[in-house]
Amino acid sequence: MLVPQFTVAENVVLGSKPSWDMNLRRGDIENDVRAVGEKFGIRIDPGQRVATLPIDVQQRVEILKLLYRGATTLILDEPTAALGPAEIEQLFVSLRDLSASGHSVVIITHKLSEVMAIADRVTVLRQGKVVKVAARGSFNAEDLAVAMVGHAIREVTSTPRGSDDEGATLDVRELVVTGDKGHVAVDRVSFGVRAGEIVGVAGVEGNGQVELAQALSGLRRPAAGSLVIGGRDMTSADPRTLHRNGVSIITEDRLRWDLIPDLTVAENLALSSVASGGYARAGLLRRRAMRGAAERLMDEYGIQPPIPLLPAGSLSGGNQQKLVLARELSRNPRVLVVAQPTRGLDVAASEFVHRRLLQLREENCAILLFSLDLAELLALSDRIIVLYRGRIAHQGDVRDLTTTDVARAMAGMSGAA
Amino acid sequence: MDSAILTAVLGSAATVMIPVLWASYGEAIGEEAGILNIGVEGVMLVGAFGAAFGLQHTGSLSIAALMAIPSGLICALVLGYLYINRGTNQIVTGILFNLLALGATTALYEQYLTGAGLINTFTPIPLPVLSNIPILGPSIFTQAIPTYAAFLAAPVVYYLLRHTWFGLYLRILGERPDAGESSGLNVQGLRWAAFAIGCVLVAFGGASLVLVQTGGFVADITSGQGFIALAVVILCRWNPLWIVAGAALFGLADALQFQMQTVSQLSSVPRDVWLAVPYVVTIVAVAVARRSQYPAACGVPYVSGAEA
Amino acid sequence: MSVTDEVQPRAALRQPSRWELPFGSIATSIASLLAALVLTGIVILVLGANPIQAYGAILSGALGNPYNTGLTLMVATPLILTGLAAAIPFSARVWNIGGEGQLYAGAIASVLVALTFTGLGAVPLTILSIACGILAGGFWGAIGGALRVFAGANEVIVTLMLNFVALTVADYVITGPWAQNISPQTRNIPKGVTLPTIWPHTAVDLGLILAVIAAGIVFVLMRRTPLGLAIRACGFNPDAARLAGFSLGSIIMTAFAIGGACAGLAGAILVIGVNRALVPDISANYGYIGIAVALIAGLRPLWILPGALLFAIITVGGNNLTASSNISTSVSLIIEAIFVIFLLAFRVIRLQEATS
Repeated sequence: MLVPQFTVAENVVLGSKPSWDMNLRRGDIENDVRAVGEKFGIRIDPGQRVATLPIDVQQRVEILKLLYRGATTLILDEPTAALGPAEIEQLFVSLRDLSASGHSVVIITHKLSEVMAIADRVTVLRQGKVVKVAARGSFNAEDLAVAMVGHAIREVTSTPRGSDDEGATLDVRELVVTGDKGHVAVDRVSFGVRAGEIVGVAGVEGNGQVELAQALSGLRRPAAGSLVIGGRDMTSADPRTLHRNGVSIITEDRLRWDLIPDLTVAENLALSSVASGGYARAGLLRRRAMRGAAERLMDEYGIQPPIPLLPAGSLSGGNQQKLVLARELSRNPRVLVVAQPTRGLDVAASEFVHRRLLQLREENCAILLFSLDLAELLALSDRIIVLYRGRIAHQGDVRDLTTTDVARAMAGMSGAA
Repeated sequence: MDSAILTAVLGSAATVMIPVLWASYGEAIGEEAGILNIGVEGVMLVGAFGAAFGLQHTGSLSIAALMAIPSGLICALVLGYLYINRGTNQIVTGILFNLLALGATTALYEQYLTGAGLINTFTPIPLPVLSNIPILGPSIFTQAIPTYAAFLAAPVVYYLLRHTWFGLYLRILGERPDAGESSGLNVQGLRWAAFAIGCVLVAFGGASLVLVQTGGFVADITSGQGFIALAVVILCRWNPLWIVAGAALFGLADALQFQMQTVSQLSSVPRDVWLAVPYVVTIVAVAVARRSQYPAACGVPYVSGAEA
Repeated sequence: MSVTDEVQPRAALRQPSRWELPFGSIATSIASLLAALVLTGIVILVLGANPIQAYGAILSGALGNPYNTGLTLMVATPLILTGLAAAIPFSARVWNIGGEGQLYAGAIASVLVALTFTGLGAVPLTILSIACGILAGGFWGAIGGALRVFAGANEVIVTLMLNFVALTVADYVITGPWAQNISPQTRNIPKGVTLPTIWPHTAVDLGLILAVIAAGIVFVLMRRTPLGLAIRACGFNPDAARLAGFSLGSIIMTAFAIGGACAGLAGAILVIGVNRALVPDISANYGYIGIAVALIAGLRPLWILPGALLFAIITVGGNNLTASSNISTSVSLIIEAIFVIFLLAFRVIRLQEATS
């Protein structure tokens, strides 16, 4: 964890001396840090402010910090998240040097290419359990990919639509979206979603799904590219405009983006309508109408307990998700952007959500479904897009894909088997 | 401009700016560590009262000045507990503390300090060679000891913030306390220390108001100077050296409002305009200067990762 | 506006639902009030008086006879309005510390209008003065809101500074062209321009009714209009409000404007009602005490009424202290401040943290 406003040296030495030490010499600490850097082959100017450094260099500052404090075991969590190929190679050179000089390095990653490149031993975790342990020479990428996703049996619960010749309702072209750290999170992505089609977006967490979804929700302005919905340009549309044009949005973090727990269920259900001027007459809220609509929706979606005036935060997770669904789906959207719809839900609630989505598809809605649950994606989608490092690593009709294809794409092995 | 007027203006500006200057040092230290103390006005008031109290009961200016330490520490105890240990909303707590300090000091003043009181201030001391310089000599270089101390304190505070490990750590706590905690720093402890030091300096500002300017205490003697310190700190980007300039700006504006009547071109400008200038300048600066942002974690109570 | 991470976890503003009272626990609140009284009692002992006697003096000073009760109600009037001035923006999670300045803005505007348009009849002039006071307060508040929305300026600093600017303008008006010769104040406003007394033989004038009506209007606004829902949504969860389609900028601006208007009304009432002129210290920190009132009312408009009354009792009663014992009137400030500080410290009042 780095502090952006401070220099490399200041970040690295943080905590190394007691706070009552009155003698901090900038020159000395910079020399110290430079020396340690030299020793481990990490050459960064210690006087530079971290905020001005590119992400990959910041990564190495973090490593330098560990080394400065004398760590002999380094644990790196997704260290190459924002790095390009050349930078990754440099990082690996440093890591190999470290391990050669007696350090132990543990890397947590989902990128098989990196595992194949650098790992002496590998452990595969799935759903919290160890499913495979292997030493170099006894594993290949295929094995690992399959171990990562397990045997996702594709239940044919939906009949995928044949390819229509209709144009895409949701049309994304060359979209570029910047992430919070200033890196490119979505890198020239192009795809389309037709009416009555579910396109599933697969990928390991952190490959640009969140940023893509936010760009399609009006929460994050794309840096380049275009977003066209129903023939109208919506690239820099705000959420209200999107709502008015028949777009419904369900995010993956309902307590932050979709719901206001302190407001009542009825208020939550009516929230986006009110924002667009609904439920108002002569300046006052039509609260009875809101309550009536809420009662109907709660009944239709089976939201328990069916009391519209309860604070939304008092509902269980499953019922909260139903609340969000009820609000967004009851608008009869033309386009639905939905992320992680069954996160934290029990089986019954998940099935309910799935049925609802399929029903919406029957009603000719264009659905873009983000999910980290591959089984869910395979069960619901007509087509699947795999995101890897902000690019589409693979896409295709779900009937033509195998689990292995998808897994390999998710893990960064380019090209289908 | 007449040189006598200029001398008078500079001299009174240099005196008048000192309480704000001390308070700004203290507030800057606290804010760098992540604590936004709107209650700075109240702390100044308590410091002023403490000094007046000490002056009345001992007759000694030095002891009265030292009273700033217990005054500041008492305030730090109350506010620090609320801000750091209880994690209350700092803005609202600060406003309430100001009301409390106003009520308490006024009540104690009316009880203990009215009537026969010792009126005494630090006498201005001319500096050996420098006080012979025309205009500057009799004004800036003939000031009371706390005034000189305030100017000399600037590089000391600067050194504390920028060239000690303590200063580095507390500044990091103001930006990313979680980074500090994960590097092994004691967030609460460091914030307490920084805030306590800050409160003592602020209290000393109040004390110097009494001991250099007025000689005694009256109700609400600070009348907003603590808030000016808030403005100075943000205007001057938490840099003690710039803070001297910022406090000087306010001192000048304050001094000018008396003298401007006699300057013919400017006498038609109402006195109140000069009074308003510092506040308007602050508003403009805060609105315009994009980088006048508080340290990222300033004003946000910290919940230790272990507690969360 | 880009999406940014929150570094710190945010504690939520617990605005109560319909069935909850403003306090997390009535018991803790009463305990806090008692603790405040005990602590202040100790201070009173130190000051050399009997706390029981002192508190008795406060009560009788505030409510002992009709005239005193009238005074209490007239102090409650501006406190109601400054409480509203704080509560509305606080509900949107923006910090309006400028109630004092917005009050003065209203006072200045109303006195200037009253002194200028003397050609109008008494009643129209009264109405016009009050209206201008409201507008001036709203304008003063809107400055803070605009700087926050368009420049990203820290609204705490801006509104605080605006308080002092308003004070200097008031000082100019009092000592400048509208000054009266004898005492430091403006000329008196024309005789007919007044708020009629509604309780005979007391000082209670129409201002009280106006304040209560304002509280009622704000209640309807916050609870029964789309704007109120928008303000509360923005305060509880600005991200979700954004995604739902609300425009946060206009919500914040409106909240500041309406809050400022309430405080402006207080200023107008103070000028036209009791004082009949703009006098120095026309407001005894009402703006800041109003913030405390808003807090103990849990930001709920109707609860601000009893909250303001409570603080008015303490304030007016405090004025009686010097008469009956040797205690300073400032003891009332001590009680009020300690009470709310205890409520904050014991998490009875919980507020979201400021974000720059």
